[in-house]
Amino acid sequence: MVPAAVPQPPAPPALPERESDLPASRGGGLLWESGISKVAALAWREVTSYFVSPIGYVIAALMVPLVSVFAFLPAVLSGVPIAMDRVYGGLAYLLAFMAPFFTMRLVAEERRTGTLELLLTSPVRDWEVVLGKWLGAFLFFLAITAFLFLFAAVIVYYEPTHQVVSVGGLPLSIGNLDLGATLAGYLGLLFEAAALLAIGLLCSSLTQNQIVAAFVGLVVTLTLVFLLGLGTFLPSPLADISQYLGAYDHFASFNQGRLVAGDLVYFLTVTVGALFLSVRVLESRRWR
Amino acid sequence: MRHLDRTVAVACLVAGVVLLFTAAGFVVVERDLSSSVSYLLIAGVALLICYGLLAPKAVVQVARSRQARFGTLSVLVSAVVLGILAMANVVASQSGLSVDLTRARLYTLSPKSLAVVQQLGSDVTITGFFRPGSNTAERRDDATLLAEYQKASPHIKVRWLDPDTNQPLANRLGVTIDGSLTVQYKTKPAIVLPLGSQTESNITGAILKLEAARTPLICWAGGEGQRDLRDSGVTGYSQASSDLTTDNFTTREFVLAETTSIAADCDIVAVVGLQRAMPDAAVRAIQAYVDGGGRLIFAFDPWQDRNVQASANGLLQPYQVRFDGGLVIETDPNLVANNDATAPAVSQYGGSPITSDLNNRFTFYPQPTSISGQGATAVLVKPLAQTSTGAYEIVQPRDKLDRQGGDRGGPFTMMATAEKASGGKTMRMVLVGTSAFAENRSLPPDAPGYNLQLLLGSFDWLAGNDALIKLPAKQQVAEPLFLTTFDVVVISAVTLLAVPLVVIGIGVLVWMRRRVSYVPA
Repeated sequence: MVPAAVPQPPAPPALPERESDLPASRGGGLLWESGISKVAALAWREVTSYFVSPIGYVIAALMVPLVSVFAFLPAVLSGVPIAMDRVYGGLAYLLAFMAPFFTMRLVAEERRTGTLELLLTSPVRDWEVVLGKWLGAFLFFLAITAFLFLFAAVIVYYEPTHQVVSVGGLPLSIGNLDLGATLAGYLGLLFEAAALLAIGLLCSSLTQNQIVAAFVGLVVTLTLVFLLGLGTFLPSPLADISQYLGAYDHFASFNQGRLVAGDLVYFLTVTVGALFLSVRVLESRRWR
Repeated sequence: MRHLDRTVAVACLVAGVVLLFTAAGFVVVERDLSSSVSYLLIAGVALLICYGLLAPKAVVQVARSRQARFGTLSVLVSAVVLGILAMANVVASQSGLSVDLTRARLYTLSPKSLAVVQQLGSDVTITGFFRPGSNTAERRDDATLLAEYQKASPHIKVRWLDPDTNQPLANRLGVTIDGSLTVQYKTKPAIVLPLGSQTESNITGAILKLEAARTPLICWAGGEGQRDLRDSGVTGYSQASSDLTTDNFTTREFVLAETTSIAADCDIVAVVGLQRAMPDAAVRAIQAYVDGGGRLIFAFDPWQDRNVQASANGLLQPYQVRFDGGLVIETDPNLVANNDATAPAVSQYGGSPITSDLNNRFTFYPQPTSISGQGATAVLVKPLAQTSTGAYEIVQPRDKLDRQGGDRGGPFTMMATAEKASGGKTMRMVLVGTSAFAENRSLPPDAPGYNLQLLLGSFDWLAGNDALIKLPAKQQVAEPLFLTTFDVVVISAVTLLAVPLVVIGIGVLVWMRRRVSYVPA
């Protein structure tokens, strides 16, 4: 007797074998596969976490008075010609102190709480994690540089010479501000921030202690911005090398209103190099 | 200890690979294996050997252990990537590519410099004597500037030498301090430009001096109340003197009261700010000089004594131009400097090589008088700077400058040129209705605007360097802020207190909202 055919339950859906088979990835298509969506999601998460943590507000609140006291007000009171380069110059130095505090918790905190394992076993690649976290810190820095408009507005308002430009038919006084030089200086600041934040992220990926990450990051960024510019005291070839490695010299050309290929490449390579090493550090957990 | 050995070995491996790539970068850029690059290569190889000595088992383990294989591969890949990044830095740093975003094109060669270097027939060698590691910011600026010169002409050769290791050459060229640039052309003595005198204007001036057959001589009328080239006060002409020297002019003073003829070696005669009537002999001497193809710049101020004005106009009478002598007041608020109606500003000019590059750039004319006259036969008079039609001229001195019944209406010419060619010689004159247009407070760094370019352009045109009259010196557009005590208090309060408090306030609000919305399980 042949048993009657028993209706078979439907076959369970196959487990995803590839990352691209994940339900969440189907909607994104090519964008998801490229990793951009995941980087953006991680970056957004980091940015929002900055805005709900006290450290973000403390740093943002400190920046304005520090830049004002050390860079802006002395120039205003001494009556020397003033443009945004003074503000950018002050902020470029300040950034060496601030960047490690922006980035100290990025990976170290995840490592300490154990969420790094979860993150690394989820369907995101190591480079996406690193890039997302760095981008989050960079976007936060970008957001808090909004205060620079305050200084630009003061300069424009109080400058004796005014030029009027037409924006959508409406006359707009832009003072005597050199827009090209102002833009170049701001770009330099962003490039320097990108590099220092990448270095801070690398330091954060090396340890699970935020304080250690901040301290190591501080040593590296201060060395890069301050000490390497003092290579005058070193013997011949070392002096040239240390001068070249100093970040402030490279920022200075931007701040003068120039985009110099060598300086652009310097900041890009420091950023890419530090991010690349961060990825290798995360990756090393798989084989160590 | 083994762990330390391994760490040092890995560091040696990474540093070795990076050094090798850096050296490769230098070889690619310089197309030569210099001694310093070969040191880099040797150091790189030595570090790789150190790696082999410190971690001899590592190489064997690569084949046996999965961990060692991954680890070594990871370190190697990292080193290679870092090496490539180092190489990119070497190549980019030597490229000299840059974009100048400043409004005044501070880091781009002016058309004048381009004209000078593009007409070079032989090589100009510019040597930077800088000790390694010293004055690096200045050296970087010089390198960027000189790269622009090199781009403009293959005749510009640049080299960088250490004055300590090249002491005989430095001594021969006259270099006494570190951070100097020397400019050499043919067999002429080199010009040394010390730190602080290495701007585009200085370098182009040096090339001009070396290339020119001779340096034009300006015979400057002085000693009788005219503008003084040595006076460094606000109404002095010391800045103009310095700028003219940089622009390859020399000056020599002469006294009009003692003049019966103009010296044959005078290329240009300058009468700027006449205060006493010229003796007839001086008038006849200048007229004879001009008629013989001479060059004259004559700046005259309003409300002068009747005899002084008659003397000035007597000089110009054969050419049928004259200074009217009244004070010109500009009524258009957009065409005055510092809201001062007695200081008209001009941004549109008549056609002349002097002002060809000044359109849409402001020059200003403090307390000017007007120039009138169509010019005698064959004398071509060109107005360069004019007021608006709403301007008026107060003929007689008075305290109240408001427009009154007897005032003449504009537009008025405040600057003009006159030219006449005869017998193979061309006489040229520049007439300016104010001698304050190039006083110290009208020129950079004390004043914005393009009066310096106007001054140098005028002298270049008079010297016959028409092709070289372009924009020489550059100026920053930044200005000091003029603030009252109240303004300073407001700015300090906003930047030191208000903004930080707002940021902290927002932070507290966010914290409170999160606290309210948090519901414990």
